[in-house]
Amino acid sequence: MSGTAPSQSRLKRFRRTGTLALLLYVAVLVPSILLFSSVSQQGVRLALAALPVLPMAWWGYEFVRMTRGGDEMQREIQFRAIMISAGGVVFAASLWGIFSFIMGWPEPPLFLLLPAAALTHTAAMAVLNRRYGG
Amino acid sequence: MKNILRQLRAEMGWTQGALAEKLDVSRQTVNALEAGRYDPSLPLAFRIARLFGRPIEEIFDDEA
Repeated sequence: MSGTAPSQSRLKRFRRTGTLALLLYVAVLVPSILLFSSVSQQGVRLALAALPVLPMAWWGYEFVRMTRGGDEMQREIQFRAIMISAGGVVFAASLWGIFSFIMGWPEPPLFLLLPAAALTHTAAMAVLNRRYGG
Repeated sequence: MKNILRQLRAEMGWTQGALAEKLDVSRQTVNALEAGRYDPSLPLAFRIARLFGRPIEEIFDDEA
């Protein structure tokens, strides 16, 4: 690590590629859902169901790439952001699950959990970086 | 935790980026350390103390 450049450029790259991966996820997910009901072949249905996993795997790759090599404060920021996003999403999903069980609300869409965690993580990173003076 | 890191860096005539380079951390971390927004780990505190040739307790004050 040397001064500002590596950590900042890594973060900038992640903001760009992470956002792109999330947009790609939505772009792949929507047609997958729309096409799913009109396809009867089991192999094609499986491929359609698995297709949105690819952009999320890309997001995960970019996330790991961004976190590797950071210094101790950046790792602490990452750790806190992960705690906030994971905790927040699990809490919200559990709350929704309880309401759907008791009140008869529709089941929570599980395919939204990972994008919700990614978005919450991005927001938490922005707040924490500002707090630590990034 | 308060510290005299900014003062020590000024005495040496180093920029935050230069100090970050010597400590193998980011400039953001040096900035947060100087502002007291981030408390360093023990290994980083030792690196800082060695770099400035002073004991840790002279640089960092946990009672302030």
